[in-house]
Amino acid sequence: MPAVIRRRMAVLAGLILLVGCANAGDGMLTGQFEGSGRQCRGVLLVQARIIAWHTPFASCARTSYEVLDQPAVGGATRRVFLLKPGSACAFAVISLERDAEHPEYWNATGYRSRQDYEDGSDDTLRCNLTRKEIASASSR
Amino acid sequence: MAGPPHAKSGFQKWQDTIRRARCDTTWAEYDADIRSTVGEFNTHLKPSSGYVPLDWRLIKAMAWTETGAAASLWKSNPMQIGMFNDPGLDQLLSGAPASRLILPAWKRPLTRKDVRTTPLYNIRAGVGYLLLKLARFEVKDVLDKDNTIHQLTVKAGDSFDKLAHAHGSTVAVMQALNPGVRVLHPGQVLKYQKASRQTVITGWRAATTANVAMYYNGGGDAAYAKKLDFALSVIQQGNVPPCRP
Repeated sequence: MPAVIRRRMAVLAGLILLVGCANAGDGMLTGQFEGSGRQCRGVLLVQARIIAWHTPFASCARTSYEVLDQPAVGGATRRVFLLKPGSACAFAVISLERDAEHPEYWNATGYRSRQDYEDGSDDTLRCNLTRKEIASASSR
Repeated sequence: MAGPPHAKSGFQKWQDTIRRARCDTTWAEYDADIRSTVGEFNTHLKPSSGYVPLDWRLIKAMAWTETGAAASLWKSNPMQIGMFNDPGLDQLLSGAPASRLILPAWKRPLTRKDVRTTPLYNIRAGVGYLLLKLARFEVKDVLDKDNTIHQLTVKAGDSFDKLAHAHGSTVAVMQALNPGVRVLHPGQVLKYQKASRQTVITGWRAATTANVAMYYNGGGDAAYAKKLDFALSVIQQGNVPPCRP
């Protein structure tokens, strides 16, 4: 096989791998995440365009969002969602990341405002959630 | 021939974590804070009628159930109280008579920020809120320690309510000291004793795992009491062999 074809095939394989990794990372930050305990009992649902989070003392009905921040390279482990203002949601910003130390957990944080997020406010709801393994979770 | 092993349920996986926790010192890092906090509350509430001292291991089991050292929240908020919109912390820090009865007089009073960010204060708030929910309160007429019985003379326009207010007593105490007096007349002499209406603790719900599930966790998690029972049973075994090499 000529060297030029081998190089093109290698580039193509690399691209396929990169896209695959990015999708895998994306998939880990969408789906249904469950919390327990006094303040975190409930479900965080992250879909392609919609987010919802219900806990005992703070609720967020299904709300559309835009991604405010996430690592630029594939295999994202953290994503910050800026929620559509004026919606029936206690949070303006929700961040979600896989816990590097305890990968069985995803850490979700809800902020009252974008300013609180940017300031690193401690007046947040922080929960350690487990991802529910259902095939349809990321596609709903 | 044996079939494939069944996948473990979420509860079973959690039980495995708790079994391992007994041998992991990280899960015991708040033992001293929990013991001292429970000791402070037990000393403070000892005079309260019907109070049974809390077992610090129940609080440790709560921390293991609410978060546990495998979750990052353990490092700041092990009792999972006081974050975003938590009405429990608002109630505890309201300064209302009930919360003032429950909380010991610490040199550094609890603040929202401390409770949200520092494990010791989070544990104090957790224990305080649990006890606030376990206590039964009533507003009652409480006689002053000076039990002298005084006298007053009724003037035109007086009522029991007005006289009780003016003389630092209560309507119920005045009526009890003057039986048979229903209508007041000028010149009438009445007895009174110094007293006030106060919130008091009249009893306690038992500090059972079922009551913790109901009153601390809110009762919305059907598995909570079961988890608490399991964590408590593991903690009660202590850090004994085969934990130690």
